[in-house]
Amino acid sequence: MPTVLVTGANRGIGLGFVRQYATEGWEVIACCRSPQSADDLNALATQSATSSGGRVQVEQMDVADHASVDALAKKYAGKPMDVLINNAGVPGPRGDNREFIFKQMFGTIDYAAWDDVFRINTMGALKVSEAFAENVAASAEKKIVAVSSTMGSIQEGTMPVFIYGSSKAASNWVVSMMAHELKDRGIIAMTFCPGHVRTDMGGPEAPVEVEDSVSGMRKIIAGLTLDDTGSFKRFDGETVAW
Amino acid sequence: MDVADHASIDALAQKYVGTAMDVLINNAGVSVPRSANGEHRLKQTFGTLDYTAWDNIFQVNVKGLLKVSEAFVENVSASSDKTIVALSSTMGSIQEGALPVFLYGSSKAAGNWIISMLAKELKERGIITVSLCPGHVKTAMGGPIAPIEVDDSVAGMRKTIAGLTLDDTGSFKRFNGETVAW
Repeated sequence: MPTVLVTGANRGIGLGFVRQYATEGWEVIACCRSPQSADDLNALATQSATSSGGRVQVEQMDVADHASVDALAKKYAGKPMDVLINNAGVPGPRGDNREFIFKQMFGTIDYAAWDDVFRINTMGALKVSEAFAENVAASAEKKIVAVSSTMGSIQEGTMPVFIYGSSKAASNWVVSMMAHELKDRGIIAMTFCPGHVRTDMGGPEAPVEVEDSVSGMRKIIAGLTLDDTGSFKRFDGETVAW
Repeated sequence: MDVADHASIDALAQKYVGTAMDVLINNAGVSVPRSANGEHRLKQTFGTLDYTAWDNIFQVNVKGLLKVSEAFVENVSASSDKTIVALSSTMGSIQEGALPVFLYGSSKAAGNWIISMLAKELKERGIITVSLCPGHVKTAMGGPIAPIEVDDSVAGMRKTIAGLTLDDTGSFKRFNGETVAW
């Protein structure tokens, strides 16, 4: 069966990817910062060991800690990975009430908090792609995807969430340039907007269920060809403008 | 003023409180410094990326741009021309950028998003915000074989700036006035 590596696999959309790919029998390398507290993910992994679906292997990897990325890449050297899902991401500064929004608004930007968001959302996705590019190149499907956001679109983004939005715009540029760089090797690189999904990040009022967002993205991933490299698609298949 | 040192920005903003500023030009920007052996290129190339260098570029090109705009927005708002420009680059365009210079290019893409969102945020106050590509200019960053002279690039951008109206806010233009795709 094919293999998928998912970052930020302990909750939300990442956990959804793990669950659905495992159900379909894929081998899943599920990465997160703190496996010891990833209860839902660990339960899936335990279940997978005895079920008829694919195996879920939980791995520690913090995309902002490049030593941990390099260590995992070394462990899996030579292992083909069909799909690499750069899902790990953070929304930006946290805070009580609406304080976290003020920290990303023009006039009250929290510059100290910006660094972590950039290191995770932008640098992290590129570092992981760089570290596992050989694994993807050695696979049959050769796909690298990033979970981005319409909020990072210059043309479609309307929410003035400066830190998060700009981190996703930079990430979109990165994925687009990876598509150019890796096309000769047959690798497809593209970006998703997962929709506004009911997760810790999306909040309880978000209209899209994790299962629906993930099944939409998985369907698109399954149908990707090299002609789709460098594209930006919503989970329902619509194209998002840059 | 060092745009990566926010205390220096705040100090200058305090010094100029109440001074109307017609045009704010966010020009300060860095890439990986050129090295004779070409090592600077490897630091921005997929497979040999230098993440520490990226951090430095991000502090100046992305955070610096927004911090300076934030610090002087009242000055711009109090002026008659009310214009904020950022020197970006076609290399930061997702649709037109063709050079795989990962650190610099992505920093300019983030800068373009910021300028575009600033345009939306500040339009009601009559402030015009645009990104400019200066062309490939003969500077320390552009290198000695760059085809465009500083004088020509600047003259072109000044002409473009002089002709800006609120309808142009949120646009991305080359120094010669052509539109650059995002």
